[in-house]
Amino acid sequence: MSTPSEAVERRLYNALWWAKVQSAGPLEVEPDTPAVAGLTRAAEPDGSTVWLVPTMPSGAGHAVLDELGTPPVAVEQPNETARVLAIVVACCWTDRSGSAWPGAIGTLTQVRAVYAGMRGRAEQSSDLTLIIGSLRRLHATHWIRWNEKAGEVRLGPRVINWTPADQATLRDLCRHLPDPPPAILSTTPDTPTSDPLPTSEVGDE
Amino acid sequence: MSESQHALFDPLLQDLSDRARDEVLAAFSAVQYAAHPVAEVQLAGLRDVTLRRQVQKMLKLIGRVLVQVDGTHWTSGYSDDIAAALTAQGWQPLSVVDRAVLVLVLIHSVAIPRSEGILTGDSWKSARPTTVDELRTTKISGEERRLALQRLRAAGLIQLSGDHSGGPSYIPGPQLQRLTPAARRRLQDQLILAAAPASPIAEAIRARNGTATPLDDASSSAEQEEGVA
Amino acid sequence: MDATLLDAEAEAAVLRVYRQVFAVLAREAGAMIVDPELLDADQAILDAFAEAGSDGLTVEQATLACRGYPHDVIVRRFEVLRQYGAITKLVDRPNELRHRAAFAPYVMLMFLKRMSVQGGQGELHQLLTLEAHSVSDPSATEDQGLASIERLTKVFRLLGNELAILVATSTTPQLRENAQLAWGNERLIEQAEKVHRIVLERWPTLHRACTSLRMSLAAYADAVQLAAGRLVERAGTTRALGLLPIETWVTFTRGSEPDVLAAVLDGLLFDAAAPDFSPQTMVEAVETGRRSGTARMAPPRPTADVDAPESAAATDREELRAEAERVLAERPSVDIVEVVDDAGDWVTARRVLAELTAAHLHDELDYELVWSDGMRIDPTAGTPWATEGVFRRASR
Repeated sequence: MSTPSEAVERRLYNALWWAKVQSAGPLEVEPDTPAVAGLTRAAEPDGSTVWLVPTMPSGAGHAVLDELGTPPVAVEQPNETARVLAIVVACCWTDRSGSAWPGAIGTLTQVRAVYAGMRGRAEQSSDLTLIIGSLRRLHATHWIRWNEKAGEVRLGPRVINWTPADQATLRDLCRHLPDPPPAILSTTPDTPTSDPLPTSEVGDE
Repeated sequence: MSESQHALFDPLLQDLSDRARDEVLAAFSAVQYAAHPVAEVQLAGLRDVTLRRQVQKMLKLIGRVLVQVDGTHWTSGYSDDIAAALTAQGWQPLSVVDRAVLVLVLIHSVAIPRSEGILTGDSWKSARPTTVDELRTTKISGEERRLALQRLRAAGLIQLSGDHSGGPSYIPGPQLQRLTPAARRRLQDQLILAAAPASPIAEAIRARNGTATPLDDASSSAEQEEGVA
Repeated sequence: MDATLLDAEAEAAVLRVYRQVFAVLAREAGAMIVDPELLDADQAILDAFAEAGSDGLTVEQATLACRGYPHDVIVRRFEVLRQYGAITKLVDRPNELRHRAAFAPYVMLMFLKRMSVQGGQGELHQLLTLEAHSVSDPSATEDQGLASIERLTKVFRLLGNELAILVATSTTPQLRENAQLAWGNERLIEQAEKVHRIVLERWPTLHRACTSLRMSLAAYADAVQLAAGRLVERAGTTRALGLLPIETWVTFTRGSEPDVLAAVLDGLLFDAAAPDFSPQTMVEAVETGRRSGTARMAPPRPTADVDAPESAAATDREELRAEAERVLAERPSVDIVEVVDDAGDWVTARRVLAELTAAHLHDELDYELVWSDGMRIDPTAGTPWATEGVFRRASR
C-alpha cells in the first residue's frame, strides 16, 4: 500500500502528535489537520475546530493502576472535583439519548443549585469556593470548558471517550442528582443543537 | 467509538495471545499513568523481556521510551528524538513562570545539596526541601508563584515535602524520574551553562558537546608565544 | 665589602622572620606539627601575649592565662616558640623571666586558618593585587618588576602542577574535593595578566620573563580545563552540579529573570496533568457527598496527614479554608476558647481544632494557630478546661 519511507513518516507524524497531546493535554486543531492514529477527533459544535483526544485500547488506562496499587499523580480535592464533574454532566448533557459530547451550555447558577441539592441542604457560602476551585481544575485538564467571566460551563473534549457503558452509568447518576433549574445564559446561545454525532472515531488507515 | 479497535496499537497487539496482550497493556498503563516508577517484579509485562519489548514498541508509537530507575523500577518518558524534534519547533506547553519555578526548586533541592556533597545517587530525586522563602527571592509575583506551584504539583513535577517545620516546602516530583539519561544530563548541563557560563566546568561541557567555546585569551596568546620562547 | 655585609644582614633578617613564622608549624625544633590542636595552643599563647601588653609574660603567667590547656602542653609550646625566636626575652639578660612575642607568627597563623577554610584563593587574589600595586608604583625599579613577574610565574606553575598531578593520579572523588583549585581561575588569570601588562609596558626588556609568566598561566589554564573535562566526563547525569560552588547557584537564583531560569529547561518536555475521573469514581463521590451533606463539617483530619501530603484525601484544601472562614466569621482572628465554647461539647471542639490545625499546617492556606500558656477553667462550660490561644489569618 505505502512505501517504507511513507510508513516511517506516518509513524513519526503519529508519535509527534501523541507527544504533543501528552505534554499539553487534548489539542484544538484546524479541522483539516490529517488524522492521527489513536487520537479521537471531537469537533467543536460550530465545526470551526477539532479536538484531538488520546484513546486507549480496552484493557489499558487508569483502571489498571487500582489493581496494582500504584496511584496516579494525586488530584487536589479529588472527591469535590469528581462531584462537580458529575454535576456539570447533569447540567450539560441535556439530550441523554445521544453522546455526551458536545452537550449544551450550563451555568454556574445551575451547578450551585444542583450542588446544594446533592448535599440536601440550602446553599452555603463556602460552597462557591469549592465549586469554582473544582471547575478550574476540571477546565485545566480538559474535562470541562469553564468560562469564568460568563459563568458558563460545557463538557470538555475528554468526555468523547466515554463508552456506551460509561454513558449508561452516568445517565443513571444524573437521574439521582436533583434536576438543574433552566439555564439562563448571559450570551446568546449559539444553540449547540446536539449535532447528530459530529464526532468520528479516527481509525483505520 | 468501539474500544475493541485501536488504529495505533492493534497492529502490534493483534499477534499476541490474550494473556500476553493483557500483560503488555497492564505494564504499558502502569509506566504511563502511575505517578511513580513501578517495580519490575510487579508486572510480567516488565519482568519478561519479550513482553517488555512489546511495551517498548507500544511506547515508541507514541513517542516515548521505557526509562529504568534504580535498576529495579520502570517508568516512561519522551524519547530523545521526539522531544528534540518538538522543542526545536518551539513546542513548550509549560509556561515561562512554571518552568522558572521548577528550575528554582531543582537548584535549591538538587544543585545546592550536590555542591554541599550531601546527595548520593545520580538522579533528580532529593529530600532536601525548597521553602517558599527560597522561591520568593525572584522576580515572580506571589500570586503567579502560587498558581505555578499548584500546576506543577498537579503535574507531579514537584511535590510537598513532609517537612513543614519552616512553613510549606517542596521537593522535585516523581515526573522528573521520567527523564531519559540524555535528558537528565541535558538538564544538568544547561543548569551549569546558565549559572556559570564562564566556569571551567561549563567550558568542559561545551567541549564535550562540541559547541562553540568563547575564546580563552590567556591560553591562545600563550600558544602563539610558545614558538618564540 | 659593604655590600656583602648588607646582603648577609638582609639574609639574616629574612631567616629570622622565616624561623619565627614557621615556629607555629614546628612540633619541636626540626619537626613539623601533626596535631592541629597544637595550633590552637600556639594561638592561645600568642593571644595571651597580646593581652599582656608591654610588660610581657613569664612562662608561669602564660600557662595561667592558657589554663584551658594542659600545663605541660603550654610549657612545651612556649619552649618551641622560644627556640624559633617567635618568643624572646623582654630584655636579653640571664635572669630575665619575662618574654615578648613577635607578631609574624600570629599573622602566619591567621593566614593558615583562612587558607584552610577558603583554599588559599583569597590570599592569592590579595597577593596579585599587591603585585599589581607595587609594579605600578612610580618609584618601582625594573628589578622589582622582574621579581614580581618571577614570583607570579612560580605561583602559577606550582598551582598548575598541583592540579595536573591531581588529574593524572587521583580518583574522581579526590579530584572533586579539590575542585576549588579550579574555581575562580578566570579572575586569577586576569589579575596576573594585568601585572604582566603593566610590567611589559614599563620595562619592555623584561619580555623574556613575561613570556615565562604567560606560559605558566597557560599551563594553569590547561590544567584547569583538563581537570574540569575529566570531572564532567565522569560525573554521570547530575553529579557535575556539585562541581560549582554554592554561591554560584545562590547568585543565579537571586539575580536571574524568569525567562533565563525557564531557558534551563529548553529542549525538555514534560507531561501535562491528566487526571482520570471514571464514571464509577463520580458515582462514589456523589454518594459520599450526599451522605456527608448534612454533617456540619468534614471528618477530622489527624495532623499526621501532612506527612503524606500527596494522598488524595489529605489535600482537601478548600474544605479546610471553608471551615477556617466559618470559624473566623470575617474577623482577622478568633480566640480558641471562644471556638471551643461555640462547639458546645468536647468531641465537636476536638474536631474543629483538628481542622484548624490542618489549616495551620496546610502549605497553601494562610492561617495560623498560636497557643499561649494560659488556660481557661470554667466548670459550667461544655469543655471546662480550654488552653488559650488564637486562630488567625497569617500574613505571608
